[in-house]
Amino acid sequence: MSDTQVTPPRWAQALLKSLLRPSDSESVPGDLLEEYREVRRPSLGRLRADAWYIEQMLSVLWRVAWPCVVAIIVLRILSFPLPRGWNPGLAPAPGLSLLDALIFVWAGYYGSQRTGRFSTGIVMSAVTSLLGFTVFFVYAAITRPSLLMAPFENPFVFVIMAILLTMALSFGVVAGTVGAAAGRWLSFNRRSASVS
Amino acid sequence: MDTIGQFEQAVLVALIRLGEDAYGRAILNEVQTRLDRDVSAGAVYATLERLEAKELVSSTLAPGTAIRGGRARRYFAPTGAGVRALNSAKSATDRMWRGLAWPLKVRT
Repeated sequence: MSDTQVTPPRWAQALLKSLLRPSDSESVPGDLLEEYREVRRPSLGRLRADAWYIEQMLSVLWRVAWPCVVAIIVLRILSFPLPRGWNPGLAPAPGLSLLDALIFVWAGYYGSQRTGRFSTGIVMSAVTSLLGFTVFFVYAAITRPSLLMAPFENPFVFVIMAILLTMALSFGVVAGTVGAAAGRWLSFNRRSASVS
Repeated sequence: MDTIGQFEQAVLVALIRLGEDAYGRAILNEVQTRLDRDVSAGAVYATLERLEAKELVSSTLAPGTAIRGGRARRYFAPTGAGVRALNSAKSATDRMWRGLAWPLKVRT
């Protein structure tokens, strides 16, 4: 039994589509939707079927994003032991340094080059920025476990973290947009050159 | 000739087993069944993309159905080079095992 009305989370479908080359943007979501409707949803129920769909979407995301994710994790891990100043900060907040900016620009460029979609570049830089921000706090909490208690002692810490996250994400998206625009411009020029 | 890894072999063998029914979802299920483990969609699609870039696989689009929300199906088939690469991989594995008794005995 299958129901053509049931659908996986729309945000996951939109994110999946943004990661795919135009030539795959129908077939891959179609395959996953077919499996979701025919097998997963009837046998697993809504919550677990949605979780399955999100897991598959993340597996596609990982295949596209892993070089950027590795780069940002290496940068974060190196940032802690190395002396201040080796990577100039552009603002006094995590994820807003010169090397962060270069990685986000590259993520945007890499994403848009890989799929030929501007939106992939922006998604890549946003994901890279989000993971970089997360790694910063995870690493900080491992090296200074007392930080884990800070939000319970002063709930205002959540507000500060939300502001820092917004700043890091915005920075990542802006830098990624520059990279994605460069990627699109270069591939447009390459196409024009091959036509003429 | 291109050498192919174990997962690439699994995907190519799935294409041969499925014949004209080899589209993404069927390939994913076939690979999972044969390898007897969960395989992510990302791994299969990335492998198909890589095999297509190496020209070991070709693909064609076919109209979608209502259950897919009308989205097209992409059918895959091994090219001549893909079949040769698979034959070569199988021969290499057979040569590697030749002369050994199966199953191997554990030395105590």
